[in-house]
Amino acid sequence: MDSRISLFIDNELSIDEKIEFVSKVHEDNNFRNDSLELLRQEKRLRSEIAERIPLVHFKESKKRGLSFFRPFALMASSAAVMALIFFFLISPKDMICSPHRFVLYNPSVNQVEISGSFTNWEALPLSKVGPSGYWEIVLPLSEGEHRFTYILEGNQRVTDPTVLTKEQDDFGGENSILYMEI
Amino acid sequence: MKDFKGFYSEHRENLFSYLMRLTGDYYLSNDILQESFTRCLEHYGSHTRNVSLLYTIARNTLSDHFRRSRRDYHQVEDPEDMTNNQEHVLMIRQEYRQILAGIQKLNKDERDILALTLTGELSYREIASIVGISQGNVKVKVHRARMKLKEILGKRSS
Repeated sequence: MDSRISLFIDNELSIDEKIEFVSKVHEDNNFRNDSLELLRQEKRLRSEIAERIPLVHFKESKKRGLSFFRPFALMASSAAVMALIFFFLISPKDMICSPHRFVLYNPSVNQVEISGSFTNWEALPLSKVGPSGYWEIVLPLSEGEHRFTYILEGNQRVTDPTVLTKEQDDFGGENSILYMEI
Repeated sequence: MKDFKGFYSEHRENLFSYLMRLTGDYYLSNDILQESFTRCLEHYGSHTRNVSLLYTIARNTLSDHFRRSRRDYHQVEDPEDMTNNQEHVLMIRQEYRQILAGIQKLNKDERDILALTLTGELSYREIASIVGISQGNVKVKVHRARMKLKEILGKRSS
């Protein structure tokens, strides 16, 4: 098969070569069929691969490196949760957490996440509330000030329209500021 | 940092897709994506806009990983056998699993060059420079990889 088909797909032909290519497509049925088959294959190859493209967290990157030891990290985080529960039982008031429900209405997106000071700026997915267009997540928050933002479709940041206090972040975006009273 | 944020937003998806096609592994691709942008920012600053450099960093980061783990590029499982890891199955689109498994049947060089081409972000000249072969060689290898993949995917669907 003629490698000009790949050059055409990858936009590597000059104008003269494109004229030759189109002429050949018109004159040679086999060449036209081969071109169409490879173009259809290309469309499949370039379609979206994953349901969700991960976000990169620059602020933590220096500390993190490659997380090839995920099972150990999971064990460590489980231990941390156990420690928090222990602290919860004996700690003063400022360590007490209360569940807070975050709700966002946006029926036109397929993915909503929340990232904030209480998630260590990790993005956590919100759940769709049936076909209502609402998205929600309940997270334990301690008393005090918390900063957060919603992330739509993995890349579009939006503040919480129900929280009036906002501030600029390091990336030129905005965070909502929530004050929790327990 | 604002400049880099734009560079990151523009190339995150294509770089991740490249890594997925190369490794077939969602979590490994996630790790390499994270590390590549971090290295790019740390070593070349927030004003860098060099796409070839970003892909070179990603390839080197992946090579470092395979060297450390003393194995070759991960072979993705057949779609029929991918139920072992339910979370992995959920992350990869249903219609793409067969294509991903087909790509993994190509040899390492073919997969590498085809995956770079499929990003749609790099010319043959840039790919030649990243991989370290001639532009003419890229031209031949890209087409050969496409033809081989066509045969593999054809066999799978028949």
